[in-house]
Amino acid sequence: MSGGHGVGGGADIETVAAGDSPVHRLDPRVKIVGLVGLAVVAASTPTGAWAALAAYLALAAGLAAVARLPLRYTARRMVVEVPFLIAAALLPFLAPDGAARAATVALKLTASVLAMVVLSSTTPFPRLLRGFQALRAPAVLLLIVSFMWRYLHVLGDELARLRTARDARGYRGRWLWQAGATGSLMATLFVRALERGERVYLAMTSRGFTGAVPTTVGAALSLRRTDVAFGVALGAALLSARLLLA
Amino acid sequence: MTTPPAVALRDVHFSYPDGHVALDGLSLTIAPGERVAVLGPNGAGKSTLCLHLNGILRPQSGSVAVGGLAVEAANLAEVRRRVGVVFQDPDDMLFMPTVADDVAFGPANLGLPRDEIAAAVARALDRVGMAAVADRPPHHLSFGQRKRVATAAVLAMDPDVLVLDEPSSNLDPRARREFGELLATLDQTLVMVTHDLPYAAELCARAVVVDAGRVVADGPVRDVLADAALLAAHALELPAGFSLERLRG
Repeated sequence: MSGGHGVGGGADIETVAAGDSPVHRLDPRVKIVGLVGLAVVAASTPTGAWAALAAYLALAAGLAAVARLPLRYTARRMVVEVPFLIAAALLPFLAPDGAARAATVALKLTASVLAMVVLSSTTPFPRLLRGFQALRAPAVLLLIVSFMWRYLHVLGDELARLRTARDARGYRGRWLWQAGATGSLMATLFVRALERGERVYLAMTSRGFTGAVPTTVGAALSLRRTDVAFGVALGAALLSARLLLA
Repeated sequence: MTTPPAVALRDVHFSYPDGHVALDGLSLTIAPGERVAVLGPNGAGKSTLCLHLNGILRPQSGSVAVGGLAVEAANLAEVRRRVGVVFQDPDDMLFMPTVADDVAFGPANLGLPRDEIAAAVARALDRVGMAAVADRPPHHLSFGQRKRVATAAVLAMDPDVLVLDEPSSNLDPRARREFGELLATLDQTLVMVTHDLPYAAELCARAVVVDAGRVVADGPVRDVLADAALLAAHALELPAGFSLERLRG
């Protein structure tokens, strides 16, 4: 009931993000700017600038290594890029110098996705939100994301209970005519989510909510010398790779 | 000059848009510092009553006042500061990414300055024994811990009246007892809606039975619970083997 039971075994993102390493300890603002910066710089690099592309990938991989991200965990997180890699694999058949383009896209994508995996796997979610908030990201967007994160866990538990109840009554997901059961399960979950949302709103109103979102008040972020050093070093490395190697 | 009652409902009528009559001329006065259990079968109007106490719902006729202040649009902010509602499911209350952020939500809505909010959060979490989990996300806590944090979220607004909807539901026996021990130490006026009659007997001096939207019995909790005919008439049952004589105090 209390959640926290990872499905599918292996380390889950919250456990990994709660770990400790020099990368974990960095200020979230520096990590956000630095690693999103890496993705932006990578995206702006021209086709065939192999040395620069390799440098981005090395930077991201180096950070993952310093953060001691488990290899299998990282590989699993990287799976999101697979559909894009497949799309890129079609390029050689569609364009002249398609092979070089496909390889460039693959390298850019891998470096960027790895950078995002490092960011999200070394920063606990509330700290990540606080970082974005300190960087003046729109409050409404942050609130939506934070609601999603909070209630995914609640709805996940609810879904697990619904499925258990369904299976306990003999559902085996084997025959086509059983597909209807999945449909009504989703419908039930949707209705419950809607009711949940209404109750959450009532509870918020009960605590004086009037529509304006007060900012969070956790401990203020403060930059330390290592944070500044990391930011400057990563920025310098990215720029020199982009300008000198490409 | 006498102190105004903590809560005063006079002849409150309320029906939902689908025509269901939830409150049908309910009157109830609670003095400051009283601990009152509101008992009654499902659908008796207990939850509707709760939502009237802080102005989430408004009576269609009759009046509600808290601490002498009428519950009406102009006073809602102050009413919601004075009356804290702890909902049945803490997951409905705890929506922020960390416990401390969530407890800060109420005080922040009151417009307190930053350092006062932080102090209120620390005080409230300490009050419920949850200071150690301030920086954790709510879903990492047990149900009992989340219930305590939800209570802290309300206490942080320094309410005069604490309204609890089914405080013992879903708690395991030990968490139920410990939560009761916490409630016993609070000095707010307490209004507790519950099916858990032994819990009511332990924590409250007075019991009010609500059925079909009106008060059908009101008196010392032991007298109400000792009236077998009354309990049977309103679908209330003490657990088998429970003996009122064995209660302390």
